[in-house]
Order: sequence, then C-alpha cells, then structure tokens
Amino acid sequence: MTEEFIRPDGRGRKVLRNLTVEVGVLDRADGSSRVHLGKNIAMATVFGPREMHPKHAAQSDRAVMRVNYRMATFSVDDYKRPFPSRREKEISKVLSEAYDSVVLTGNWPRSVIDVHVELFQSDGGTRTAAAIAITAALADAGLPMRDLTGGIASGLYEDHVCLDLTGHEDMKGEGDMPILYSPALDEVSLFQLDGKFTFDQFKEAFYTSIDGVKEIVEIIKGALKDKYLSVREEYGVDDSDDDEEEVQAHLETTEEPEVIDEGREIDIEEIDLSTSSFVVGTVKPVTEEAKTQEPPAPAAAAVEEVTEPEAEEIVESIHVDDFEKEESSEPEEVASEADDEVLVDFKEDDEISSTWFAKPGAELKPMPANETVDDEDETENVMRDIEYTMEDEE
Amino acid sequence: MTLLIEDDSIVVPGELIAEGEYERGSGVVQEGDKFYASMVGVFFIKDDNLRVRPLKGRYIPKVGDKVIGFIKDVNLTSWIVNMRGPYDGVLLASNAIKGRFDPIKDDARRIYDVGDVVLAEVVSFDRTRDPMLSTNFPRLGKLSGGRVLEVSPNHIPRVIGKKGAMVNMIKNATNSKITVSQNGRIWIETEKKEDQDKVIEVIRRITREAHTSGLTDRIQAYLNEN
Repeated sequence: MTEEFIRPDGRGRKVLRNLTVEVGVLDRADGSSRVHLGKNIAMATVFGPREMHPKHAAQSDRAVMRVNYRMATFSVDDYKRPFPSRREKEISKVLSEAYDSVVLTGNWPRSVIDVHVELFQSDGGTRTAAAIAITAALADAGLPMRDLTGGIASGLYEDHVCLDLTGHEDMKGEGDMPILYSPALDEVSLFQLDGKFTFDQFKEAFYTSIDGVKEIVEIIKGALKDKYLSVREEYGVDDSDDDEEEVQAHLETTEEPEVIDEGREIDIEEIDLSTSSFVVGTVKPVTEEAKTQEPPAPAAAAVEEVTEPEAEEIVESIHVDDFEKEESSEPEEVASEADDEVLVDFKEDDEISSTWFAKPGAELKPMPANETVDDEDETENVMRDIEYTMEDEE
Repeated sequence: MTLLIEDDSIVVPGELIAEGEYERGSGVVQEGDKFYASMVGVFFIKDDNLRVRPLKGRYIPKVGDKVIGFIKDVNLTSWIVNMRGPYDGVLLASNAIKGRFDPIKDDARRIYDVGDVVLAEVVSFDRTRDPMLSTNFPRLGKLSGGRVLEVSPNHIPRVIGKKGAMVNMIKNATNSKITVSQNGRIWIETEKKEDQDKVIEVIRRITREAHTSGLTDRIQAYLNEN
C-alpha cells in the first residue's frame, strides 16, 4: 500500500529529485562546483590549503576545515536578511566538522582549507545540496580525501518515509533526518534528526538515505571523471610516466645563464652604504679578505670592545652581588648548551619530521651541511657563531 | 591480489583500486587490505606499488626544489617569500649573500626588496617550521625583466617534458629564455612581445592537455604552424 504513495510533486517515496553536478565552474578558486538538486542551487568554492588567518586559530598538527554556508538574500520566497543567521552558523559548524573527518587534513599542519558554499535558490534540503557541492569542489581542488561523501535527507510526510523532502513536504511533514555518508568507508559523518520517528520509521529512513547517497556519489564521480575524460578522449591516453627524478635532473643541468643577479655575486662590498637609511654614522664595510682570513670580522670585534665595558659599568652601578652574578651566568650556559643540543639534534629531528611530508620511496635530502665545497657554507657560519658566543662569555 | 582498475585510468577519491598485498604509494589510502584512491588523478602501478598522480592541487615544498618566489616582506635579516602554497618561505640573509650580513650596517632591502622575484632552492622543511630557502647556489638569485606565468605545480613535469624535451623545444622555436620552477611558476623572457604571447599560449595548451598522449608532437606541430 505504502509503495503506491505518490508525493505532491509526483515522485514515489524513494526517488531523488533531479540532481546535476558540475565541477570546475570557476577559474580563480582551487576547486569549485555547482549543484542543482530539484529547485536548490548550490555553488561551492574551495581555497587552500592556505595560510591561516587569524594565526592563533591554526592547529599545529593539521589543517583546519572552515566551511562557510550562506544563503543568498533572494534564495527564499521572502527576503532573507543578509547577515549570517543562527541557522547558517550552525550548519557551517556541523559541515566543517563533518568534512574534517573525511579530508586528510594531517598533510598540511598550520594551514586552513576554506570552503564557501552559497545557496542561490532553496527548496528544502539545502544542507544536503550544499554537502554535495562541497564534496565535488573538494575533490576538484585535488585535495586528498578518504572518500567521496554524499548527503541526503529522509523524512516523514503524511506518515510515509520519503527520500529527499522538498520545502513543502518538510514544512507539512512530521520529521526530517539529513545524513552525510561515505559509501566506500561505510561511515556516517553527519547525522541530524528533527521531529518524531518510530524506530521502524527511523530504520527505514536511514537505509533509504544510504541508498540515496550511493546514487548521489555515483553522479559526483561521473561529473569529476567527465571533466578530464572529455579532453582525454580527443587525444588518447597519456603513456608517459612522469619521472620526478628526471625533472629534477633537468632543472639542475640547464646550462643557460637565466639568472640576472646570482645570489653569490651579491656582496656587501657592492652595496652602497652611504645612502642607506639603516646606517648610523659611517662604518666601513667589511671586506671580503678580512672575512675569510679572520672568522670574527674586525668590525665586529670593534663593536664588542665598545659594548663590553658598558655592560660592566652597568653591572657595577647596580651592585649586583656574586650570588646574583652566578645565577645570571647560569642560564646563559644552559642556553648555549641547549643551542649545541639543537645543532646536534637538528639533522635527526629533521629527518624524523620530514618523513611526514616525504612521499614513500622519495629520497630525503638532509641540509647541505658538508656537501657544498664552495667557500662559505652554513655550518661554517654556525661554527663561527658558537666561537663568538664563547668569546662573549669569557 | 586483485587489481580492479586499469593502469593509467582516471580515479576519484574513494574508488577501490586493488585488494591484497600491494605497496601503498602517494595518493592512495589503505583500509585493511583494500586500497582506495584519495584524490582525483591518474592511477599508476609499478612493481606492485600503487600511486595516484594528482591532476590538481597546491604546491607543497620539498627539500631540493627550485622555486620562484615573490618577496612578500623584508625583515632586518631575512625575507618572507611567497611560494604559492600554504607556507611562506624564509630566506635568511646568511643564505642569500656571500659574506656575513650585519643588520646594523647592511640594509636587507638593497639585496631583495618587496615585489622582487627570486629563484631559490628549498634547503630545509619539516612540519613544524616554515621552509627555509637559499639563493646561495649557482644560478639562483633575483630574476629581472620578463614575465612570470603560473600553472598548476602538477603540470610542471609536462611543461618540462622528457629530459627537458618540451621546454627546450619551446625555447628554440621562440628564441626565448624560460625558467621552470617546481612550485608552478614559469619565468619567460623574450626579445619580441609576440614571442612571449606565443610561449604563454603554448604553455596554456600544455596544461589543458596535460594528461593526454603525443603532447610533444602536437606542440611541435603547433609551433611550426605559427
């Protein structure tokens, strides 16, 4: 009996509205999509991963998913006030959390993935239309996800469990239950329920939704594949494996002198200090020879001579007793030791942590510590800094 | 051991690629003994190693990469470099000039100023710190003149071609200087403006048809026509 129930728009109980998904509709966004679900029109744009603003909101171990769900002022029959309403903020929040579990955010710590989803027209089930758009846009942006997530609502209309309620059915009906579901993982990432369901109704609604989602995900897959297959069919399949090593080799062996000012040729000597706004008084630029012969440059030594007596004077004037002196000197030693430790541990630390980023099989290159044979390299600078601090302590 | 997807086909996230004892490469997630694609891309298998090459995506720094960056900010002894990704590069003065840099005497703006374009190398990067850059290697430093074109970093191998075949072909055909960097920026300098437009048009075409076969031949024909 219930199978023959016909809904106001002529659909059966377990039939979706027309769904079309288009991807890559905007050029400036990293990923974008437009979704028509019945009379709903949703457009999602993805930016990122990019730098987090405000900085304090960043997570040190993963990227933050930030979904911004908005309805246009003209999206409803009446005029909708342009400010984010309580409902919009809530949907933004639950969608952020739902997608946080699907997108592999651990790949980019300290950054943010911004998703903006705008509803241009609404007719019930906007959050599920928004979710479909977000999934398509995230995949279009090339972000790694565990699965494509689809969303759909089932609800009660005249005591019948119906899939994908329209605005009218939602208003007249007794309940509404939107879910976001990932078919390959078999995971529900969002579940909301509004109204009263019996347990049997709930079970039926839940499995109806899951079947609906499977259908939706196939449509999203089709849209994503179409975008690239259309170009491919015209020219055939790419037979070249991109060899990253080859690319690297090419970049290293290009002979053409393409760079105008090479870094190593820029020398302090060449810089005209007379007009520099940073210069206080006249200071002779350190010459190349002086630098290479004596690691602590003469000019730097001169500065030391000036500063040291001053420091002593200050110490005398405030009459610091020996005990305090000892105490003040201790942290310095500790600090220098700590510095040494950092220097020693750096490589190890670097290797461990950079495995997070390395693709499996990719070779890790440590800091060019001893590799560079050319004149001054980093380690030398570091060594000189240590000598420098030791002299200071003496 | 069952492979469910053909080599070289386009996959989408959540698509089951294979079941059994395979090796998981980049762009693939593993749940038990099932392997799923994690991004939109082209699937490759090589000695049981499953890999998905992405078709889109942001640049993620890697040690040893050559990048073209824009100087975003100048500090007393360092520069902040926009590298087109989620992380800004830090170029320390000691990594940029030959001698010792003294902030009291030297002005960092005289070496690189805001808006300058630099070709640099990533010397260190891990997940806790921003990437460190260096211009203290041969052929690195400031680029002046020319234009910078941005393409997806994933299309860079196509722009370069096998052993630089593609980029060398474009260089010879248009008599231009081209520097390709791994963060998806391409610096182009030509004597005539028409050549520059031609190079840009060719690169746009490469990125559009990046995942198709016989690309080099088609671009060659295109260059000969015009």
